Amino acid sequence: MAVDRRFEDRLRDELKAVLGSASGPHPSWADAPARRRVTDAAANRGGVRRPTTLLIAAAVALTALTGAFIAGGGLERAVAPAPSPTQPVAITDSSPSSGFLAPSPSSSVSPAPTASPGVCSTQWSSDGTVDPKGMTDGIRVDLFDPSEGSLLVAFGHPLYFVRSIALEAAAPPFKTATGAAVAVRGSSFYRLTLRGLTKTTAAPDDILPRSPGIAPGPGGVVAGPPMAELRKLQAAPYSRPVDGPKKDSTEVWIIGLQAPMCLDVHTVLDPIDSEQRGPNALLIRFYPRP
Amino acid sequence: MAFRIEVDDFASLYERTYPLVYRTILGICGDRAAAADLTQDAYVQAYRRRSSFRGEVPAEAWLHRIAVNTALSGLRRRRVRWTEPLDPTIHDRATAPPGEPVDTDLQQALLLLQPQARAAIVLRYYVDLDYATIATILGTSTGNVGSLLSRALERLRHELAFDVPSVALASSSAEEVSHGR
Repeated sequence: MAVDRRFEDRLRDELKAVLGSASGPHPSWADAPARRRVTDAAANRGGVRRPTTLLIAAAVALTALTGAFIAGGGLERAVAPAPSPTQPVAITDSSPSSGFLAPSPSSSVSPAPTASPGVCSTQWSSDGTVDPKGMTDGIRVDLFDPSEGSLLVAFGHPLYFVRSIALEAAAPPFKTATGAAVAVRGSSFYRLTLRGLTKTTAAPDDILPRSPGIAPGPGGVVAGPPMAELRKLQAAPYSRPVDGPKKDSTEVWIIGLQAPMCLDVHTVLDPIDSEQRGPNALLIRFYPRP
Repeated sequence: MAFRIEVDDFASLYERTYPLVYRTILGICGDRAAAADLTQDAYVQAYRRRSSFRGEVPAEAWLHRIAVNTALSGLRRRRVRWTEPLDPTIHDRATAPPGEPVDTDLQQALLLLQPQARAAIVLRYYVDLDYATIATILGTSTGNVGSLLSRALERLRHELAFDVPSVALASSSAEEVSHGR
């Protein structure tokens, strides 16, 4: 199909004239809203508490209250049971309505097992309900942060686009997808399986605790206690977002813990990307066996 | 780690790239307020992902990829549309405020394209990227970029009344694909 090169030249000139005259409102980093957003997160990354944690804790508390309300018959249960030993309860979608994505019944949160004395959950799972094919950014983890003793896994989209997410107790020996044996630090282990990613998580394949005297850089990733090591056993192969994830697009992590621990998983809105239509992050916590 | 973008570098990167990134996103989404927001979203994403930057490509190209994906994602999320200005004089180049782009026939024509095609047009004819880089940014093949651009140009040519000679020359798009660029 022949296209006039002079038309292309004219188009180029017009675009440069129209767009070249535009000046954005925040040319300086010092005044940029992005700077304020990331400064809060970065400043608190090394601190005792961070807003993300506090906000997530607030979301979790709100959810627990909501769960209690529902359990008391105050609301009609709106969420289908997930294949999880813990009972999911509805979480209010607090994101602004964009009208694009229909909320999914899988937007659920597991109540803290600590609410039931003596209960020690060792598995959790969630199944996607919306076909991710054609998602512009693909299906991938944007943030994989185990630095504060809980593992925050944030996606750039609601969780219901992920084919499945599973956490379960695991035991060595561990092997990579190619069959190579892998030793993971710790005395008890969980396997995190993410199915349906279009790209593997951009985090180090082997995440260890902070070394004494060696502080990580601003982008450094460390494992906070009780996590002793996080090791990626299998990476999801890249697939074009327009095609959606391949059948074998599975990522597997082994999470090594310093002691036998129970599991506490919450699905939340990542506060730094709160425009999502539904919960887009997992907050995975570990607590000692009762 | 030699390529890690540290905090000071990020501030410099931001100020060096902001105008082009903002204009690219504006070209894709067509709305100044949305472009300003999406540009900030793009830099937040870039900041969060800077530890994954390995230096295989220039930081500007890496940033552009994030920016374009953020813009396309933002279009889907927000259903951004080119807004009709309340003041019709803003259509007039002569009376438009300095520094503000006017709503031109070109912008209206771009609106008729699918967002990915619009992104390809902006990356090719405003940012002046080659096909391979555009393909990387859009997560598609070089050949697909060629056909995407070819269809988009045909549509724009049909919609726009540029005063250009009608002598049809060999398409540079076709040339680029045939030369594997």
